[in-house]
Amino acid sequence: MSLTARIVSALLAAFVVAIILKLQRRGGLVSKYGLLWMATSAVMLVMAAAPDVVDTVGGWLGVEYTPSLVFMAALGFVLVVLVQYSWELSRSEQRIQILMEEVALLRRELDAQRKDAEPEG
Amino acid sequence: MDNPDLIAVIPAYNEENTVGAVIAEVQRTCSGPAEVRPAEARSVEVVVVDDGSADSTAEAAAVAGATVLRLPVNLGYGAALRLGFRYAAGRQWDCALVLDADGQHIATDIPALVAACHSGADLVLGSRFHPDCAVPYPVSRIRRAAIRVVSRVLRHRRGVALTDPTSGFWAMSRPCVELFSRQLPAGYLDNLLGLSIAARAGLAIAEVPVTMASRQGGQPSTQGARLVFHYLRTLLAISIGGRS
Repeated sequence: MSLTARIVSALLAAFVVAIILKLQRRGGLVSKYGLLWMATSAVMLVMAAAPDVVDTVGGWLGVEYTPSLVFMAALGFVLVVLVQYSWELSRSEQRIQILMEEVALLRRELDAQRKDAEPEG
Repeated sequence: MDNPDLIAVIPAYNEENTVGAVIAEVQRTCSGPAEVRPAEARSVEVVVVDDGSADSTAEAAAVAGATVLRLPVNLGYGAALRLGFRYAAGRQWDCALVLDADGQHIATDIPALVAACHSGADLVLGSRFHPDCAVPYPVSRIRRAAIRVVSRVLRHRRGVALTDPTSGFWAMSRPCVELFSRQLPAGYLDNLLGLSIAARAGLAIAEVPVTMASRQGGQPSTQGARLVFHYLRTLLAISIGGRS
């Protein structure tokens, strides 16, 4: 890999780390996601700083064209994360619905009690 | 109202112009003279579930004498139904009803639905396309085709033969309401999944012919590509199970 390419990819990885850190500090990320993306950006940083690592790992696995290994791993990772998000979103929707039902029923209860408490006429 | 004989759940989203008349019509039919009202019915509690309307649907319903449950945001037809069923599950009644707030369902068909419920069905649907209907209800060809596909899938996958499974005009027994109050999914067309859930739970499902008025107000809630999407989504859930 050329020196320019290394510098650009290292800068990109550093940028991602910076964004994640900032989000985490401002409370914009729940810590489990913070940890997930910190780990991801750390891997990116390692790959940018020492691209030979990819070739070595590729060699162990018997992959001839090692860059395809990076793409495959990245794609697989993104897929798993997205499926997990869909699952979590579905669960959140369910919970919100139950919460709304609860709110509506309580509001009705409250209205009924207020009406009862009002003096006649 | 203490222990009504009937409870009618009406999901409403922006229906301020029609909801009052629908409530009055239901009350007149269900607690009116003995020859038009359902057998043994003397009182009806009308429950309007306001699904986060932007207009004064809730106020109009309250003025007309309904119990009003207000969802703080618009959650969709299935969610509104489920809330209505949750409320109904905590009350005493003989038969529960569901009908639309836009005046499409005619209250004078209620006795027929209630009668079918009393004679052993857990879930009775009012069908627009029943062979005994005097005049079949006119719908667009796409909608008609979609309803045919859904009917076929329900028959093959769940063993329920219905001519109008998308009907939103229902009468229900207590076991059915209790089941739906826990399990009915939230979205548009999810009443279809209700059929699937009821069939799997072994409840008896029946159909009676009804006449349906053309809608008095508002627009069909969903049209075109969205309608196709909702049908595909629903078909998936009916045929392989799970949530919508």
